[in-house]
Amino acid sequence: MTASGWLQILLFLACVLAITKPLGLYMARFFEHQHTFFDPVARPVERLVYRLCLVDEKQEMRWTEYGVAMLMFTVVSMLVLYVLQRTQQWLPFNPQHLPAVAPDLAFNTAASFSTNTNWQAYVPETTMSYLTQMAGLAYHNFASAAVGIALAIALIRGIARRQCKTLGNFWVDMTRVTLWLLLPVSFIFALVLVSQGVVQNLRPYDTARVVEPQKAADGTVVSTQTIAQGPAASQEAIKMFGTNGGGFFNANSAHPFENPTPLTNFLQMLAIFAIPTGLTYTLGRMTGSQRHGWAVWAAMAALFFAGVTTAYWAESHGNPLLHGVEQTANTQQAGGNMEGKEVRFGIANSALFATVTTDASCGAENGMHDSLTPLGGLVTLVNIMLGEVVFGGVGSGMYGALIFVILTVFIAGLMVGRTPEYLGKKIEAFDVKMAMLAVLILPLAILTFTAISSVNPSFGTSAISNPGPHGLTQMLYAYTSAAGNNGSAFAGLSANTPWYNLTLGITMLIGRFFIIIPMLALAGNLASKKYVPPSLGTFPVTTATFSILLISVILIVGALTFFPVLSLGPVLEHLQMQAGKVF
Amino acid sequence: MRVAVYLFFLSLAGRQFSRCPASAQSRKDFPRERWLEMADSLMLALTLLMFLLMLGYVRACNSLR
Repeated sequence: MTASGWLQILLFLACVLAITKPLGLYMARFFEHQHTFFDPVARPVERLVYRLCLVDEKQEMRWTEYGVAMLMFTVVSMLVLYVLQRTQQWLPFNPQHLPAVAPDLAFNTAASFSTNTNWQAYVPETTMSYLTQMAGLAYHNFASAAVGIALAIALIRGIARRQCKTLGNFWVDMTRVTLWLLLPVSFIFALVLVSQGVVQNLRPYDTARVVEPQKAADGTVVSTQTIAQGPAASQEAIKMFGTNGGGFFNANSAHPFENPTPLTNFLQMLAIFAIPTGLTYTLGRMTGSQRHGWAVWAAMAALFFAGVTTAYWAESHGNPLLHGVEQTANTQQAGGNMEGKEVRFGIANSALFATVTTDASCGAENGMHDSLTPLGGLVTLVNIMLGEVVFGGVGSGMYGALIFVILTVFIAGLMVGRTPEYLGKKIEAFDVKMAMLAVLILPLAILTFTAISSVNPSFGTSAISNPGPHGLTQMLYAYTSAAGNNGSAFAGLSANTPWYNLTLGITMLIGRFFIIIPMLALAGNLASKKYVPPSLGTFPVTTATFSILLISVILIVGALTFFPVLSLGPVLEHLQMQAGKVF
Repeated sequence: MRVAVYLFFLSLAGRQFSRCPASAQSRKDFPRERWLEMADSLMLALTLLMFLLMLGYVRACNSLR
């Protein structure tokens, strides 16, 4: 670990803190229909959208109506993306004449992008046409992110409103977050990325002559290289701001056309956390308890710092079995475990990126997670298993965190023997049932599918590339990433098989909607409650004690649920590595 | 109405599966093109079934109150 590495990590956290208030305040203002500087541009477009789509912006929805509208929107979007992939060979913007995507892969990809997961079981540059990338995948990057943010705002409204049966209008929330936030920031960020060297064109791939021809394994001499390109910058911008993570190229943010400089690397990480960190301020603003918003932020920041510290420490120490290889950082090399990492980013920025992308539900990668040390890989897994509530995905991080907040005040209430209250609302049996349904679905999906995959080669084990605990971790990571709607890949797993495409697709849908539905039910129930003024026995949710208890609840729930499988995977692999055996 | 929709998609999926040969030998003889012909409708049925399940989950959560 170096001073420069720590400085960059602390600078990153300082920048996250700095953007929290302005962005959160802006979101609170446009969601509450207050005046913003962007109204003259966005408001006319908004009115036009409502007129074309026959939306009555004054009409509010109950939680069931809100949920059904969200489900209908998603199923139609998902089917459109499926058809687009299956017919891309007949559609324009396909200069490489790529064929139709296979049905199981098209289902997997449609489920992946419509749930904000962006798991990619394919090589984008040899599978998806430019039209599919732009009109299908990039569209979903906006739509799935907007759905997540709209849902978080619906839950915040549920907490803030009193004796009210409605949570807002799904179509209005979707439209406003897209017009006021996602489109403008993505447009500006895409231009910044282009200025740094990210490609943006519609040209066919170029062919370059290599400096030194190579002989392939089959004896043929390779003297040329195909340079894939395309409209990458526009997709890259929303990929980060929308915590989508699906790369335009297979190497994702390790590719120099997607992430060319240290500055773009830093800005991409900041873009991942921007909206989730802003939403903590929006929470405080809309519920009238700004200190509560900061208390939630503090809990998230502490968990983030713990994760990045562990990952950085583990990666800096490298692999003790690599004898004869200098693993100490010096002026000549980064030191530590550099396998699977970009030399231009080094250990600190790779560990930071891996932590950020799994804390949020992003899934972009600037290094290969399969090559992380066992403890480094453990951090990425745990981040997703905790529900990605450390800032988290756009919207999904906030509503995931608020579910843990409900559990925290419930447990605090049990400790003192009083009916738990949260910001003036009594937390009752129905609220806790819904919170627990949302929390339990993640381990149910992850552990069930991992267990089935690990029993038979025709299910899952034939696709792993390493035996022993590392192979188990590859399968576990795939289902964890899918259920958590993260989308990052541990690599090493050949996931483009009918079994994985179908089961991972189903896992993504379960991991997204079987959390959202009880969360919306919780929001609807909270909104209908009376306000109860705080008393001496009320557990304050604005203090450091609350932040510590929230962290404890998140860690204990995660540890109790996943420790057994983690002990068979990365923990065992770490202990075996210390004993002199690698897999 | 909801039951009818469920039954329609179940029968659609069931009909597609019933066309699949059961024995290992006949599966080997079953041309790959036939699988691909069926795949689109199977994927469609799977997608719609998942979303019908979610609509049912909305109703179930609402009735837990």
